[in-house]
Amino acid sequence: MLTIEHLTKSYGGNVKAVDDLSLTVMPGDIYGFIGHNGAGKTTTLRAVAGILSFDSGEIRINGKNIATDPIECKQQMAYIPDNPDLYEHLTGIQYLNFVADIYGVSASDRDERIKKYADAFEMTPRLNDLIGSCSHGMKQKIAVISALIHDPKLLLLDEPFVGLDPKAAHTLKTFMAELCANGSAIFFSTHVLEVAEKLCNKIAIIKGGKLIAAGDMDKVKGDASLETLFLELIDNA
Amino acid sequence: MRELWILTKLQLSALFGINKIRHMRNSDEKKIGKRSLGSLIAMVVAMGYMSVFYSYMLARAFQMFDTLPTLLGIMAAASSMLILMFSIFETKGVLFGFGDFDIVMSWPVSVRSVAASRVLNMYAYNFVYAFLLLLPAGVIYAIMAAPPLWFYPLFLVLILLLPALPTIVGALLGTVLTVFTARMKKNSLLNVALQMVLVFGIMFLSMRSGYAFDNPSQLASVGTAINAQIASMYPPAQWFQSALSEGSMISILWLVLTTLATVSLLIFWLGKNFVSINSRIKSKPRGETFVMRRQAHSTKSAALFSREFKRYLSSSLYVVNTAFGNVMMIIAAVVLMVKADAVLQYLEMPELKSLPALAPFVFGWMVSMASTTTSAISMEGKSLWIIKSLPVSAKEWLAAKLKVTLVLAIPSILISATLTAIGLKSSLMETVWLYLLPMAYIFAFGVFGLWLNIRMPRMDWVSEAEAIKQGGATMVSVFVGMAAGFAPAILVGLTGSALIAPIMFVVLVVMAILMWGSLVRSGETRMLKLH
Repeated sequence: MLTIEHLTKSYGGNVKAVDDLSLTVMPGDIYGFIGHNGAGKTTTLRAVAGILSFDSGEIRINGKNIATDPIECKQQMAYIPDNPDLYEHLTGIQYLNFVADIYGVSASDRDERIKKYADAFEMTPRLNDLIGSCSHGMKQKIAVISALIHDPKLLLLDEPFVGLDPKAAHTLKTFMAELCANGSAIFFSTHVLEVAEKLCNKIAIIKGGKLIAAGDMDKVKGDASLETLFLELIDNA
Repeated sequence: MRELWILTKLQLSALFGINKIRHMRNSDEKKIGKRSLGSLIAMVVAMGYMSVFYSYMLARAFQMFDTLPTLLGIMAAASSMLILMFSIFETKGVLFGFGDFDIVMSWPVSVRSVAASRVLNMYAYNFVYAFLLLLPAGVIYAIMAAPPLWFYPLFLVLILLLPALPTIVGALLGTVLTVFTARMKKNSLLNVALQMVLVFGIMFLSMRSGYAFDNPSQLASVGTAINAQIASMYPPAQWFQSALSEGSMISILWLVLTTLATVSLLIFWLGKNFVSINSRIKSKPRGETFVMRRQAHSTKSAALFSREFKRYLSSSLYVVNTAFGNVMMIIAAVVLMVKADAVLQYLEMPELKSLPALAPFVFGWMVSMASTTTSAISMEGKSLWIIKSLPVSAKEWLAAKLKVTLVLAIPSILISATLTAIGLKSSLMETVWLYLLPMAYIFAFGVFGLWLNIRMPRMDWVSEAEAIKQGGATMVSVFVGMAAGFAPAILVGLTGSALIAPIMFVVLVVMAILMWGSLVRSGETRMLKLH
């Protein structure tokens, strides 16, 4: 579903935000991406989402190259950044319809999915409110619904649980599992190691732009907890 | 005072994006930032040059009538009117409803200091304009009149003082509008309408107070007449003039006291009402409870256009800044239809030959100011990630922005051209150019705006004014529009050639096509580099 090969990105100077990073996300994977602040998680996710240029390497989504076929790649995926800066001048329902129009979601699918996800996140009565008047958590819920509305094959999430109330976080985890059970894949960053440990079948740990561990959760962490492994790798690798 | 200085410094660091350029690490961003700053400096130089030219020409004319000090008064009045209008537009966004309100208000600083720092920010921006208009006038006056030594320090003090009063009055008028429309539905549109009424009202009143010179014998008293006009239109400009030309202590006192009194009163009043007004603006009304029904769907291009149009209408500052050209064109056309003879007489063109040939170029200049595209990319701001992550090509994205400009301008052009053709009794060819040439201008300047804005974006704005008014692309477009409108008009006036209109039409269309081609080719790469 997603293949990253030798991805390198620097922001001027010699400091590399991402350094020769390679990993593969298969259909059905819930792939967690962890690392300390400034390790290169967001840069990697933004490069995969096709919103950030990179210096070298290759990113393929379902065999399509993000650098040469960005529209076809984006048609198959959805991205939610760590801070949901949505269009504040639109209402929630206007935003969802805008995204659905861009992805060409049919009328019946759109109605069904908006109802399903908005009801699950308890957002339906508030969809006529301007996004500018919504709280951070509500904006995050609208962003999540907009990402799910076109049934993406690859879902990229940057810290998706920040700002969500416990019930909404649980709902999101349920939908993530459901999406992957249907053959889609999720690649997401998080600082909540317990969530990553319970939810993900694969995990990657990044430090200073370099991948220091990646693969099946059980193989990577062994008998230790993810937290123990993470702290050990971050301190000693 | 210390906290006021700290807050003002924070505000000023955002002015023209200079601080960001200083500390950028990303080389692409740094290049874009430097380009924007370079174009701003070039524009300031160009404005300064024009100001020197106007001041010199006026000074020569006033010297002939032995009324050189009028130069100071007229430039003071002009800069004050400009600042007054800018301040009305800027109030919502700079003084109220600014992005970092919550964080600033959480700091242990007094409300009065926060309010004063916002007013000082408006003043600093306005001062640049005042300085560009008044400094050349002062220097030329000094060279020609050789005033005593006290003129120089007094001049420097008074040009610092003069922008304060129109800034305060503009801020007050802007505040009244903002408060009045804050809780209304469609408040942006109402705000726009009221701002337009206010600005055109000010322009109308200032023109109405003018003296008419019906016969040449009155020209002898032209100095007295203009002075009387300035005094009736804006007394502080008259005080500025007499303070500097006569050393009038009473005028200096009037200017200083009036300015200090209004500044103090505004800061005092804002200290008491700043939070409540901002809260009123920020608390957006909740929509009606949503009930899931069948949703309408549209094509990708229609969705992009609709998003763009809604964004445009959501910002009163954006609308007022760009609608001005269209509204001015329609007003000019109405005047030409209703009182064509009077206009021609006023312009000393008793023959009906020149104006129908010149009108398409003047309309072209006006409509070039109506391009919404010069800040359309910057207006994406922090939400840019959405469009970048969606399956939307740069061509589709930019086309939606161009369509907004065209949809707004084309009806105004059709109305204005029809009214003008009737009023001036234009020939068939003149009528054709009245329609076609402004259309070519808006097409070319719509594309030019995108071409400029993608090279000089301002994405990190906190207040919309930073993207709309302080962007290099807007400034460049305004000046190029002026040159593209007036240069061929002057040529028509001098040569009377009927070929200039078709040549200009071809030049504009070819330039637009070339720029559009360049945008489509490099759009994806440039879009990716935007942050």
